Amino acid sequence: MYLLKSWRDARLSVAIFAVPILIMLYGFLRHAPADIGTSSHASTEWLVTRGLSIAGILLLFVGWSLGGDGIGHDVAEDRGAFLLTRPRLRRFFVWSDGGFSFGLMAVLAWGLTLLFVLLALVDIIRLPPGMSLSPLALVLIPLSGLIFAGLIYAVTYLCTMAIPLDKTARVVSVAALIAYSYLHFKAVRDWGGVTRYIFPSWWVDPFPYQYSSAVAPHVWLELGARAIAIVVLLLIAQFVLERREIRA
Amino acid sequence: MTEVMPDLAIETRGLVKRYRNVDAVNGLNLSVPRGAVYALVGRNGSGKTTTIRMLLDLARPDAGTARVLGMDSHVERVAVLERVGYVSDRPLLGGWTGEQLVRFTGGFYPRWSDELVARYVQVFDIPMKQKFRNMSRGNQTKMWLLLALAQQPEVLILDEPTAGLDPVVTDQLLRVLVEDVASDGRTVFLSSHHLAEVERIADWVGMIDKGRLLLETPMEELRAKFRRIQVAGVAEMTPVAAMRVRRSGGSTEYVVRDGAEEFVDALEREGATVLQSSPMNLSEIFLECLSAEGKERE
Repeated sequence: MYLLKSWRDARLSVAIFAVPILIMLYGFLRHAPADIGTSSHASTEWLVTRGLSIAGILLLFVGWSLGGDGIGHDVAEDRGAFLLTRPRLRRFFVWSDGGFSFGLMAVLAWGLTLLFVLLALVDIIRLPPGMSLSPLALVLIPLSGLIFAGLIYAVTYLCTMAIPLDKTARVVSVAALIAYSYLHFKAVRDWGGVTRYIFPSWWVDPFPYQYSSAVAPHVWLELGARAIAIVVLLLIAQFVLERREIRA
Repeated sequence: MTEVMPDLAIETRGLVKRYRNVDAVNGLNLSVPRGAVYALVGRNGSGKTTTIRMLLDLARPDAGTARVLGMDSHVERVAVLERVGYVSDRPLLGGWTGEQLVRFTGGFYPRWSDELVARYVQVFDIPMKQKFRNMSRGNQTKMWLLLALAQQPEVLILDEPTAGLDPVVTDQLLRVLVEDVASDGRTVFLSSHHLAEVERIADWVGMIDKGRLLLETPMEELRAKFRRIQVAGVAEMTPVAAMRVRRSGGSTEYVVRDGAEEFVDALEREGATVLQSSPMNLSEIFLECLSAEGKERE
């Protein structure tokens, strides 16, 4: 039943995510067939990654929004006395929130990729002649999107758990995201890109080569490191919730 | 192996909770017998809600233990919460209707009873299709109580259940507590500062002030022992259990916490004219206890 609550809390975020996608879809259908990169010799993987990175902004919003809608938000809104007197371990709420949110973000990330493939299959989007999307790309591109949204989710979730005031928590989470992004640009510009492949950057680009389908070096390491960071952030959130005092 | 049922539904020993330099609860020893309707009474900020929070593991004690049904409320948190119903004035899920809240809450409890839901919806006349946030204050409290009762708890903990309610709803709520819950042998533990209401339903009273328990006793004993005795003229005797002696004008007034009959006999033997020896209500007893405690601290 707690998942039902999670879904009710997430509905608005999903709707906000879906509207621009539907508008884009309408645009494609109206102007079909749309030529994507037929004049260039860019790899399909590279093109699809660029295309979906636009949707990454929407995934960013979904991650941030879901992260701010968890049990920390409920506690701040005074619903903690009700929810946390239900007979469940406190960690149940953290991992139910996390499980649901990652499930939803995975559906959105893979859904977008599959939608793109579907549009290509029915020739609404026309890819460069003779080119197709490798099965690995169908795994790596959405996984990269999911991990990206997941990191943002975990940062926001931890903020709402650790900071009692909901609005303050959201502001702090945005500030943390901006600070981290700034760190990324600084690393790329001033530190010679030494750290660019692992941290600090949000997005792992699995296919960085325009004219090749080759996978980026260290891609699994980069994704794995971020996945570990997500788990650590959620474990810290669990630690905070288990010690947090609830108003009654 | 047979499970040994503890005699006490709730037990705290040396319970302490500090917020910065303030002792919200200070060495509290509560003993709530099984099957009792126990009222924890005290002023605002006396530590009632903090005590309840520690019983439900919403707050962690700085020292001491809180046990519910023989289980440590922190260590065996889930097992405690499975058997305890809780009613508060905090919001439920505001955007959810009564029906949705019932479905949501029912999923957490193996002993959930839809029959009880149907029954109390009728008894309380709750608008189940209305969103919680749009319900009146009275209906919100009834909704909390409905959810707590449908889980068939062995202990029902209510934090200021009648605060802000009109007399009709208050009466309805108190009747359900006595007729349905207490008569069934289940334990009711409520905090309140509405002493007249408490007096109607409670069979045990604990008085708390500044986080300390001033008194804990069965209601009948409280009524039987506390007496206000008025004597004509200025009497010089002072009983052992005197809480207050006021000599003014042509009379002396005693408030005694025990041994009133013996003291009246002694006064009469000394030739004093006892004008009145009357029982006191809970509110009067509470004020006398507070005043005596204040003097003791001075």
